[in-house]
Amino acid sequence: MPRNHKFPKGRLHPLTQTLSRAIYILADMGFETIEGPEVTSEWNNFDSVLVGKNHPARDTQDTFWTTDGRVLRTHTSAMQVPAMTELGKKPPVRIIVPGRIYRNEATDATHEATFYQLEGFAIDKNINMGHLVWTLKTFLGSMLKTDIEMKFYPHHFPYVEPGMEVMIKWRGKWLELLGSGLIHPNVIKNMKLDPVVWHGFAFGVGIDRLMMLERGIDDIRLTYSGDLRFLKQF
Amino acid sequence: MEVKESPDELAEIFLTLGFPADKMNDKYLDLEITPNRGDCLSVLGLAREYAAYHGIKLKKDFAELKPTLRKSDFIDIRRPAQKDIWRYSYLIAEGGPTGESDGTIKERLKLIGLNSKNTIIDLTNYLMHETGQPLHAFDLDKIKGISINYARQGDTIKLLNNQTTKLTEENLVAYDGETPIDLFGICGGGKPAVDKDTKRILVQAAAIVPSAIRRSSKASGVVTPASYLYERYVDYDLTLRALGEAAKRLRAGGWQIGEVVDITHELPAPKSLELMPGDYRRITGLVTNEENIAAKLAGLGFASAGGSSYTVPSWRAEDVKTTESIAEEVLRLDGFNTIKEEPLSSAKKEPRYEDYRLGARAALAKDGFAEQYSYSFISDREALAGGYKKEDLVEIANPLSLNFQYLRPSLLIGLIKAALANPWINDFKMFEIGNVFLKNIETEKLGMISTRANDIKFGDVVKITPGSDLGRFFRVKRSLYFCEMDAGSYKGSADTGAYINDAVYQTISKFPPVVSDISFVVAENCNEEEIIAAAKNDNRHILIAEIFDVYRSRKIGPGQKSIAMRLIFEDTKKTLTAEDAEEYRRQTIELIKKNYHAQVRG
Repeated sequence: MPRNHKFPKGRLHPLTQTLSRAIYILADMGFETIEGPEVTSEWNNFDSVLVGKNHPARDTQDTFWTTDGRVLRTHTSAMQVPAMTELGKKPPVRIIVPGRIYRNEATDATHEATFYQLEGFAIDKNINMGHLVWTLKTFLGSMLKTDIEMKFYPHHFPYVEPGMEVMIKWRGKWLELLGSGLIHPNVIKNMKLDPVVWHGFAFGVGIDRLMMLERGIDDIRLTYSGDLRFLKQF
Repeated sequence: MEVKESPDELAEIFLTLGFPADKMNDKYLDLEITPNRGDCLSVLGLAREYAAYHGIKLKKDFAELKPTLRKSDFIDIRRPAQKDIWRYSYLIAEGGPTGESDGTIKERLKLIGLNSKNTIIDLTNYLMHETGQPLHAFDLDKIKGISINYARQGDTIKLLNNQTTKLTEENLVAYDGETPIDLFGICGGGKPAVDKDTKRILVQAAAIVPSAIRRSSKASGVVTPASYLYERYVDYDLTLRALGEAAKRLRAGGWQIGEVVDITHELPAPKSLELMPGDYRRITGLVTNEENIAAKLAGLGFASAGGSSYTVPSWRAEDVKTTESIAEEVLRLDGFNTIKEEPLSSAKKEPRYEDYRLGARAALAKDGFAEQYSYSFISDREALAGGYKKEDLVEIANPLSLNFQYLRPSLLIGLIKAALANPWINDFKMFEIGNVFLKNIETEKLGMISTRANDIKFGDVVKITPGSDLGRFFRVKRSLYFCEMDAGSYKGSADTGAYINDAVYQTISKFPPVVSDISFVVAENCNEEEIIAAAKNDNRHILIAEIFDVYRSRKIGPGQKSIAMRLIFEDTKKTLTAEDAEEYRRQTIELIKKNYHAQVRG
């Protein structure tokens, strides 16, 4: 009689599980997945999305630089313009970019220097805030498997106008969850598209954060610890 | 402004306007102001927002102080500095006294973390926070003249806080002859500071191009509330208004106001933007009319410029430059929560297994590997231990610490460290898919590590024995086997579905666990997942319960199977004793015997 070699059961990391669900849910909404490099140019990471050299926003995203002048991407938004230029995508598009990003900040239970983000953007002739709100409500509702209460409020990012943050009510508390907005006309121009014709929205969500909410994990550092007492729980 | 709301309600109002509250108590709200809203880094700015929200006017009118002169013999703004200083206004006041501020001023300054110094310094600080216009006062009897220019490389200035700072050509500086007396727009110098004996003062209010102060602050390493404001843009039309308020309070304090001088260079031209209901609909999806647009914009200071055009007020000049941003102003007041969902046209995409290598990851999980994510950085010493040449590696110019100096050229180091994070588990295997970095190449790799040689079948196998260089560096206690390949070369694929679950995290104790195995024989039709769930539910000290072997044999007999289960016990409050572990083990055995008619083998 055969000896079974498939034990103990293998596991997908909870980050992969969260990303996998997100990819499937968004695929259902017409979004294709692409990826990009973690080490990129200053132009891709900052200038292409209007975070100029003197912009105070560069402070809020403290950055790792390589000795040869490149940047460890601080957000997956760094792929927006390359997707439409280097990768040659042509509108209308619906694209998501999952990926590892880097922030030069001190680590603690809720902050890491390395973590995952999911960028989503859509470009078409007629895209407005209503489409963005629908996309976010549908996506988050499916991800969190519940009719969650959401609050939308204005927020500034250099690459979107209007810019918007979303808060969700989770276990009785309001939590900031993601940033979004209509893609700034100058970013559309950087994509070599005519902003009079083409409009878009974009959003970015922290996957580690989402995973921690879903699973009740209180320390982000566990994610990367390699501790099987963590990995084998999922 | 009279505020009728409770702090909570007020916080909610500011949230809808775009300023979430970081914290608050019954005395103050601490609001998050994004870098584009320099105009809201003051009571005046926030009061304006509040008034616009309610559709009312501000009670206080910060009237401009009328200048007596448009140029001055006392102040010389040199040519190179002129392009970065939009405006320089000042007043002269005489008399004094320069005494102690009253209780309210002191209390309010304290609330925002400032110490009271004397009536004049306190006044400049107070008004800066009230109006958003940085003000600085010089003791006029201590200086002979003011010349403003970019500094000479090598000059130094002793600041108000006694810190001495080296100056470069990036710093805008006010000189009195050869002596720097003000790190312009950032921090005053100690020499002409106002003290209790001061009888004549010059109060300066300048409007400065934000990037000039940003460069100067970065070069000198000095950051102050004034520099913070300037970097985020201070309204070029504010100088005489703030001075007007200063004059009022100085007079009330017994001072006499003398000259008022307003020097302007090229001021930014006011801009007009168009916003028609059609534009608004295109951007927000919402329907509105001209009246609503005009009314909401008027409340925010955007005067009608005829037709559907509106003039951007000076305090928003750096922020509002497009139709989208002016539409956002109306939307802010109408409320972002009024946006109506509009579905995207129906379009499904088939996710591919190559997407995020989901198919490969699932195949590895099916093969019994646990998935790991490691950090991307390695240290200098780890690089050496791994046998990598530094010139091949990508080096971080500003690492968090020396532990994060290079980007990983391989998944090896990360997986060894992950393996070492599990001293309590004898037998395991992990995989990781992630990017590695050599000088100019970023590649996605698949790495695998196991306690068993048999599990590592691909590519070049690296054996890490306790005696090897790597083994000794990491103090490996038992041999590990590692291999790595391009992620794209791995052809396995499986469905992720079986490996996605809802499991909720159970806190891992900081005290060491006890690992215990049990074997038992049960009927063939017993569900393994059920047994695991039952064991876990029965005892909260069981952190992990997993089956590591299932087999059938002639000896065990038909219709039966032997299951080997591993339990990881823990206690979040203490180190488990052998007795505790034995008790929990016994408890689990009893449960399985009872519920599954198991014969326990050990």
